[in-house]
This record gives sequence, C-alpha cells and structure tokens, in this order.
Amino acid sequence: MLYIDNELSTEQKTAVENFIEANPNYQKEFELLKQTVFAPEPFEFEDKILLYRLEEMEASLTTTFKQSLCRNEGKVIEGYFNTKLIRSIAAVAAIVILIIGYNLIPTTGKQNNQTELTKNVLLPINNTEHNIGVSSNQDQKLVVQNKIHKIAQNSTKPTSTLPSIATEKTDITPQVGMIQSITNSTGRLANYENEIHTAPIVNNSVAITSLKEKITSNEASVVSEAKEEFENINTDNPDRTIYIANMEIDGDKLRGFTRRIGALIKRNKTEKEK
Amino acid sequence: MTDKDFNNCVDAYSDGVYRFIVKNLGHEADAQDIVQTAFEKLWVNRAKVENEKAKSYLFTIAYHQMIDHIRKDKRNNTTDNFEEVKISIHQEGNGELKQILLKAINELNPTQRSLVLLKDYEGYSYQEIGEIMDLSESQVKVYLHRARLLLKEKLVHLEKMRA
Repeated sequence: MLYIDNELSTEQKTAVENFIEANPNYQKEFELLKQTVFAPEPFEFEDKILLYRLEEMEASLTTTFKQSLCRNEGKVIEGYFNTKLIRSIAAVAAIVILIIGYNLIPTTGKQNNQTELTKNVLLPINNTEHNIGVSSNQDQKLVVQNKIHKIAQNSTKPTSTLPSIATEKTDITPQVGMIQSITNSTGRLANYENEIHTAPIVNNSVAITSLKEKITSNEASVVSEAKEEFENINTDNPDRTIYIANMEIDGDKLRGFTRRIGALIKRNKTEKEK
Repeated sequence: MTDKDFNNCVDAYSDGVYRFIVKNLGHEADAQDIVQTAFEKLWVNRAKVENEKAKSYLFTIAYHQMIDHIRKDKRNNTTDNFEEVKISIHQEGNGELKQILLKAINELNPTQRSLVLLKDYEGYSYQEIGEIMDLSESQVKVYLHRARLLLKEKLVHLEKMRA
C-alpha cells in the first residue's frame, strides 16, 4: 500500500517490484491497487481575477509598461493668444466687418437725407444780426422749413422715433405763430416806410426818429426770436449721436460697448500676469 | 507573506484547491465560493502565514469550509441529488477505467475521498494530509488504506458485472 501511495524510496520500490515478480499470485491484486490511483488532470479556476489583489499587481508593473498603456498626447504649449483673447479679438473683428458691410450697402435715400442735414447745419443764422429786415425773415423761414422737412423724414421712421416727433411738433407750433408775427412785423415796417415817404420832411423829423426807434425795437425782437430758434434746433443732443460715414450710432451704447471690450482685454492681461 | 507572494499563491494553488473541492462536492459554484473564502482568509492572515506553508494553509481552510458546507447541506436535506450531480460532472473524463474510478470515488465518504484526492492529485505526504485534515499520520495511513481497498473492490465488482 505504501508503494501505491508513493511513500517508499526507490530501493524499497524495486524491492516490492522484485517480490511481485517472484510471486505472480499477488500480481493481479497489485495491478488493481495501482489502478485506484487517480492521475492528475488539468483543472483551471477561471475566476482568478477575483482572487488577485490588484493594487499589488499595479505596483509590480514597470513604469514603461504603464506608459505604453497611456495614450500619446501632445504637449500643451501656452502662447500669447489664449482663448479669451482670441474671442475678444474675434468679437471686435466681427463688429468692424459689420460696420464695413453696412457701409457698402447702397443707401441713396439716406445719402440725400445726409446732404439735407448738412445743409441744415450750415444755415447762416448769424446773418440775421447783419441783414436786418426781409433777409432775416427769410432765414428764419428756411430754418423752420428745414425743421418741418426733418419731421416729415421722422414720420417715415419706425414707431420708436414717435416721441421725438411729438417734441418736434411741439417745437414747430410756436414757430408757425412766429412766422405770422414776422409777416405782420414786415407789413408794419412797410407801413412805417410808407408813412416816412409820404409824411412832410421838415416838420416830421421827430416823428421819423420815433419811427426809427420803433423799427430798431422790432428788429431786436426778431433777432431775439431767431436766437431762440437757433437754440431749439441744437437741442438734438449732438453728444449722444455719432456719425460714421452715413451711419448714425447711439453714442452711449457705443461707449458702453467699447468700455466692455476694454475691460475684457484688461482682465485678460491681469489674468495672464497672475 | 507579502502582497506579491499572495498573488503568486493565486497563480500557483487556486487551480489545485478548486479541483480538490469540485471533486469532493461535485458542485462548481459552491467550490468557487469555498476557494474564494479560502483565499480571503489567506489574505487576512497573510502576515502570520509563511510563504512555504501557504499551500497547506489554503487546503486546510478549503477542506474545513467544505466539511462545513456538507454539514449544512445535510441539515437542509438538499443533498438528495448529490450523487447524480457528481456523476454528471465526472462523466466528462476519458477512458472506461477512469469513469469507473470516478463512480467509485463518489461512493466513498468525504474523509476517504479527500484523503485519496489529496494524496493522488496533490501528492501530499501522510503527515501533510494529517495536518490539513486534523488527523494523525497513522489515521491517514489507515483511512487511506481502507479507501484504496474499497476502490479496488468497486473495480473488481464492476469488472465482474461487465464480464
């Protein structure tokens, strides 16, 4: 039995084998006992991964092997143009392109308006001080006509401009009354002149001087009215509106926009410095 | 025992422990559970266990786990088809003699079966088997001798039936 269980030395084994050869009666039983031994068969435990301690396995791996498992990524080079700066530059470029594109669109109607506006600006209002009489009245009429023309233009604009139109209308109503007063005054002047021409020269010298005084007082009133008109025209708040080529831009909004861009660029610089 | 030694033990002994338990129980899932438990205990006690004695430690734990499992099964009366399961698994073997032997070993009691398997598959000495199974060397010798004789009788009986 020890022979079957492989507990004997080689010498003892040979001794047993010799005994069996010498005694063939035990041969069959000896062979049957030998058959009771199980030959080792391959057997595999498939879930070995459940048994491994992976931390240790990972530690045992070489760094080169670990690196070979990693994806090859290019180095990130930090340059002057970071994303924020590029975005701000792109925003500015887009605005510039929009402005240029808007200017390239043919706008004949607007150009006419612009020329008329320039005419309005170049009104010879100061001439009223030098050319007393009919010429000053004509200038005032011109100014009023321009104003009316401007209101007519505004009426074609969208509803957002309605409040300004309303204010313009309130401006124009006293001006119509002023035209009437001017025409009345010119009529009165003509009457005074007729009186001067028709009145006897010698006896009426005092009357002439009084008439002249009346005329000068009338002229002074006309000039003062014209000055008031000049001030009314300039209540357009030129600081608020900026003209670029034939485009009208709200100054406040543009200033706010440029301020924001400036702040953005400043912030970028400070972040980069940090 | 270091962590690395433990993983080496998994490589070296997991197949043997699994085979020993499967051949005893005849149930693969239960055998996997027992193997995992044995390695878990080795991991917990790795500081105490020497690397040279890891194999016998694993087999000892696995054997005792298996005995516990068999006792639980008996208590729950779920071992009705125990023999049938074993036969169905072990019929995969090649050769007529092997099939007869596998049928014969299933008729042995768990202790005798374990003794034969530890001796034949793992090549343990009587002393090592005694350590694993909590038996003396002489007990191992006697029990194993009886198991061999029983197997021999089974073989003779089957050969007579075939003749």
